[in-house]
Amino acid sequence: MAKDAPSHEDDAVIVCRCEALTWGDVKQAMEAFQPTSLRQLKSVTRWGMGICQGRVCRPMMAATTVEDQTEAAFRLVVRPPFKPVAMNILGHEGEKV
Amino acid sequence: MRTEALIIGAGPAGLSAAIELGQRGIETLVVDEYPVPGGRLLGQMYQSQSGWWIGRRVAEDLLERLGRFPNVHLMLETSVSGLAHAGGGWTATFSQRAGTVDAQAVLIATGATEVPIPLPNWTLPGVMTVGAAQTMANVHGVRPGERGIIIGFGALAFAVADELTRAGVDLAGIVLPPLQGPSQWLGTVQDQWRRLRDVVHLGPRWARAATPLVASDFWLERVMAGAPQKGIPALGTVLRPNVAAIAMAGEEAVSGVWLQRVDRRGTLVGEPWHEAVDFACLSGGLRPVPDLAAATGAAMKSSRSGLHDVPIFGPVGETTAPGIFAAGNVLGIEGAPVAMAQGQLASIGVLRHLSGNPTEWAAEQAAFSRALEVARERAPLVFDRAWSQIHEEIRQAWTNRPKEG
Repeated sequence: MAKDAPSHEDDAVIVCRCEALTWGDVKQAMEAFQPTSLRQLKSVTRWGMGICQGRVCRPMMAATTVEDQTEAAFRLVVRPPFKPVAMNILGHEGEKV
Repeated sequence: MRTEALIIGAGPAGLSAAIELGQRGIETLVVDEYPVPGGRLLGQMYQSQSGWWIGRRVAEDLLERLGRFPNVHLMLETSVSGLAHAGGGWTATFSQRAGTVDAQAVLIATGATEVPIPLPNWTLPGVMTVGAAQTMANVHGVRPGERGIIIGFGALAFAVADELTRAGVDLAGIVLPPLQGPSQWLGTVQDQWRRLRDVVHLGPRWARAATPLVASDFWLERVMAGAPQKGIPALGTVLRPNVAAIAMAGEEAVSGVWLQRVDRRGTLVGEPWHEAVDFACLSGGLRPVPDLAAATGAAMKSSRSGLHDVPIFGPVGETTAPGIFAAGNVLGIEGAPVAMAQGQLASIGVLRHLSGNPTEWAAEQAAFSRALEVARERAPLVFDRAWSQIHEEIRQAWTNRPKEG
């Protein structure tokens, strides 16, 4: 069975499944927007903003080279809801379990 | 609903803490996302110094003991969606059920998550993390496929290779991950090879004899780069330390993997070749899930990659957030016996917070601390050498933390 040799293109590697972003998309955004922190990179690409909220892709983000290499530039804030909540559950906010 | 203690996570740490609190009459609610309690215990099966470790039996035993305490309640298929400081305690909200729970103390025992390795076509059906293959085989009794490959030298790679081959699943070996592009966080090829030092004792007897040889970087590089392309027999399969997976292949599902030889410097050399597999396990390692601790405002130790983000914690699992405690893999990646001792220690923290007496249960604390040391000494596997250093830094950060008043 003949097989095509694999593509090494950056566009062939998905890095954020939730938002269907490839490594090529990220590199392009890095060049076009030159974000100075991971938070800014998130804002311009939506990386880590899907249903997994970065739980799958967070370590891959460290492969990006933002200008500021301090830990602070790589810090991301956790905000509620920590997990997706159904609308009918939200409607009952304040009641006791 | 009101409770004295809310435990988030029904794995080895959370269940062990719940037993201690249950015994001492504390109203305790344990919540977990999964339909079955036990956490990662459910899939664990390995041989240790003291015989076989069957995680599912350990979980059954913990649950049986927990069942004796009517003051402990278990709520499954429940994710915490919010955790807010309110009225001296904490109010939790959940994603699958309406309403709130008010707790005086919260133990965060949310464990760890696996880190996948991105490579072309890794989103095809048949590509999974190594822990997913473990769950399929050991929890559900399902073969992940006919012939697989393990990509990456994460600690679970070797345990799962052993479990899968014992279950009669054919493996094409354990190979290097790609080390460029979005996989850069895995480090250099030398970093990957150094990881193998921690698992030499799991290999065949003759390989164990090589331990002194691979102790020096000089020889490690040469031994690994010079290994036969078909690999070194280990754990029922072969370790292929100088072969890297560069892409998965397939249309509707995985039908193969593209491999390429790697030289001493980690550079891809020669032509890539294709091997037929119908599943692949990605083993990028584990990282703590400290999101809830971070959201409470507890001081965190953070890392660029997020792989080593953990709350700063004290001797009985205290964080810097009042009434928030942590135990288990959320504090760093170690084995289940360590998590169990950490859970017991954190129960002391919770008890002291509830009573307001910071010195009670000293004898129990000493016993649980000793159990933690023993669990660490007897650990069959070091998951990541970084953790002992990080824990030392945290001990110092805890001692030097700014104190209230």
